[in-house]
Amino acid sequence: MPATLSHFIFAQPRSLRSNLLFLVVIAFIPILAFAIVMVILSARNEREVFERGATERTRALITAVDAELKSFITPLEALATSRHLDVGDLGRFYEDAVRVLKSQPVWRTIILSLPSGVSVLNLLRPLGTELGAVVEKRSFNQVLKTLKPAVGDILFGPLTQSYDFVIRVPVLREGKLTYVLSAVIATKSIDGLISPQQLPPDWIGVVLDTRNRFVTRTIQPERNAGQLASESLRAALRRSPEGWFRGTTVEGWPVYTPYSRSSFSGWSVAMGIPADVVDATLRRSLLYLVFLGSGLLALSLLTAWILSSRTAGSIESLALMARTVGSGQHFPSETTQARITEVQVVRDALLSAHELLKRNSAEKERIASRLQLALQAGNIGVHEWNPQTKQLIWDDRVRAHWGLSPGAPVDFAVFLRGLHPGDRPRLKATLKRALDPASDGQYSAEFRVIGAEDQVQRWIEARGQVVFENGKAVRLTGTTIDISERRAFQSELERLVQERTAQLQETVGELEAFSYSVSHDMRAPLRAMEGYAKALLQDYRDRLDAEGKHWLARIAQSAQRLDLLVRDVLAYSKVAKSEIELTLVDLEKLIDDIIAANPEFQPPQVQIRMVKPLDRVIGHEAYLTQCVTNILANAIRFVADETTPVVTIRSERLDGKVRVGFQDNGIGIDRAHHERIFQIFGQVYPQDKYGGTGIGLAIVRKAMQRMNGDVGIESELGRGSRFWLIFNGEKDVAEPSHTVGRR
Amino acid sequence: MTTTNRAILLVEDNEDDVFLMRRALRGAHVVNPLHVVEDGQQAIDYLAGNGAFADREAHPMPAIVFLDLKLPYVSGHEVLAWIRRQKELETLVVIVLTSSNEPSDLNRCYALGANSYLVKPPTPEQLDDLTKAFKWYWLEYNHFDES
Repeated sequence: MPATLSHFIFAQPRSLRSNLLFLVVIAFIPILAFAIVMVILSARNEREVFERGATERTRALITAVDAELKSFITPLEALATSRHLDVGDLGRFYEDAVRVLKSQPVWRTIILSLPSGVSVLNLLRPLGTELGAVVEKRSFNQVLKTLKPAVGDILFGPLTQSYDFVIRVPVLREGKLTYVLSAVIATKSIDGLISPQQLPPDWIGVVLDTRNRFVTRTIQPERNAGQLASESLRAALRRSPEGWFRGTTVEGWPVYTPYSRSSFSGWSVAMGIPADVVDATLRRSLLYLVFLGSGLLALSLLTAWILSSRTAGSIESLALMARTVGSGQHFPSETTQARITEVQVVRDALLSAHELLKRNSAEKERIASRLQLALQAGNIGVHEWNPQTKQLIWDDRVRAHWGLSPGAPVDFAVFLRGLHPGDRPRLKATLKRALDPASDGQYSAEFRVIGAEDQVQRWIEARGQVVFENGKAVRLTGTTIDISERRAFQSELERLVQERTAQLQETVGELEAFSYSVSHDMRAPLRAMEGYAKALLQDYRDRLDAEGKHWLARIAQSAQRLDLLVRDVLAYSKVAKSEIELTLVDLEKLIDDIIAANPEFQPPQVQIRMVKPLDRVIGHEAYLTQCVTNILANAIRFVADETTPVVTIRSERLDGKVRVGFQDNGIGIDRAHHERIFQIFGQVYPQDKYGGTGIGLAIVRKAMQRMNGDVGIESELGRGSRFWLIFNGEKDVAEPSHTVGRR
Repeated sequence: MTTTNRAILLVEDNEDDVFLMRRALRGAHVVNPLHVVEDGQQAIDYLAGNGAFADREAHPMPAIVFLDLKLPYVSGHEVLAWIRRQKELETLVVIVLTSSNEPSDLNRCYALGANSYLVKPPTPEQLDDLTKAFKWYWLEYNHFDES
């Protein structure tokens, strides 16, 4: 049973209703038990009080019966002292007795008997009538034995023709029993003692003689007189002289019976209290209890039922709401209030959750539709593959990329079959790499797909990401794009680039051939011109006049000048195209070397001063030599007549750059020409007067640009010029310092 | 064999240059016999003694070759490469005399085994200086492999 109970309580989920009903029943049981105990205790107590009362009443009654019987003894004892009996004068005694009998209304007769048991006088007969032996012998013998009064048992008198009883007293003369005097008394005398008026109406009162026969009975006293009492009463009287028991009447009615036997007379009094009356209290109480209890229980159960219905209903409506919220459907926002506070709280929470979800899902829908639009616009397919379940999900765009119609079934085999056999191993390897948990899971590949249905070859680019959980690849998600057009465009572009490159290379080759040809073939005739002119001047010097010699000299000069031009143009094109490496250069040493190598840069023709120390610069030694040589040559060339050229070289740092200035005392250049002088053939001054090819500064600018630097000029006509070579800072090159100034 | 008897072979297709070179060598008082061939194939034939060049009286084996690079039929580079492939010409002094100062030409010639690389000077005066320097160095101070 406890197992079943605990099973009921704990083992299974129970409805709220069952739980509440169970709670009510459980709470009700001890109350009911307590009430029952109380009712039983109180009923028992009540019955004890009742029993005691009934017993008291029975005792009082037996006392009253004794008193009545004793009241009959006194006049009889008085009669027994009659002096007529002293002498045996029965006649006179008869008269005395008659007088006594007349004073006692309930007495039927008076009998005088000899101790032998023979009656000698009966007032119902004339004196002298022969009378029989004593009828009721028990009390007679008692008198003989005890010499005291005794009460006889009830007897149907043959003379009186009614149930009567006798009171006997001894007649003693000088201590000797001479007679036994008896009075026959009607039972009627006892009737009055237990008349119904003295008892509750439904009670039965009885008086029994020593043989347990009814002396009187409140119900039908005449009929019952002399009858034996009920079996149960007789049994009780045998057990004890006084008590209380539940039995039945002679009629068979169930009764409670208090009884008491007199020690004086040996008679008993008993009551028959209907069991119904006694039990009624308890039964009524129990009945009330049952009615009230079951009523209360029913009421509680009903209340519990209603409450649980209400709660369960609320909870069910909550569950319905939660399901609705969970499924993302919309529900009409109800305004009815829940009748349970907690439910109302949950309901409000659900409503606000629903609001949030609605807003979120709207936002999600917007994002999703935007994403769809983007995917559609970009013709981007989305694929997802689960390496564990092998489930493959493609949208219709991926299907289109694989040449499949919308909704066609796909799996990994379909994916593999579509791949171009030439790209299959490569893509497999890519996937294997991405699926390796040690990798970052990203993949990206371009490959060909042969359309399953249309047999069209497409170039597809796939990108994506593998997601790992606990060191296992669980999902592969990515996109595919049809890049066929891009591929076609790319290859077309590549073809074009190759074509153009080939053309360019051809052009470059031609240019190189051209410059090679320039350096070799164009200069050879010039050399020949000069050579022959000089040969003429030497070998035919005697045969030429002054004018002829002059013209030959001009031919030689022109040839020289053209050669110079050709060389400068070559130098310029070399500076423009050669690959160079920049290093740290010691400018002081470089300039010293240039001066040492060129006599025209040495005194007295020119004074070149360096304001030492000059900053080291980043450049290319050969280019720098060319730049410095050209600038110095210009400074020397463009001076006024009779002026010794003076060049001052200094360096300064400015904004992380190094500026090297060449200040000369030359003729200067008008501001208007500052830009032109750096252009190729941008000569400003007539070459007949100053010489030069007009390429020198263009070479300088080109060389400086190749060294990530620049060149500038500050000059005004007649005030000399300052050329600036501007270099990037030392920090820009990570060249070890021991290479400075050395190649 | 005295120095002045040693033959010099000039491989030069430009007759102006041949004239100027001949004149400059004379100006520098170089008296050694000067033989001239006008293209690369002739140079190879001369050195190999093919055909008419088999007569070593008329066409003696030179001690020094002036080799131009830009030549008809067979270029100077190929002639130089051919020379260095011949066992008996391994130690022949080959002086490249060209108008090219392209680093590529220079590098290639030294790699092929040229003994010297001279750029044709732009002026007759400078050519005179060159021939004088040549005479001092190669004909007066230099020792030839006589083997």
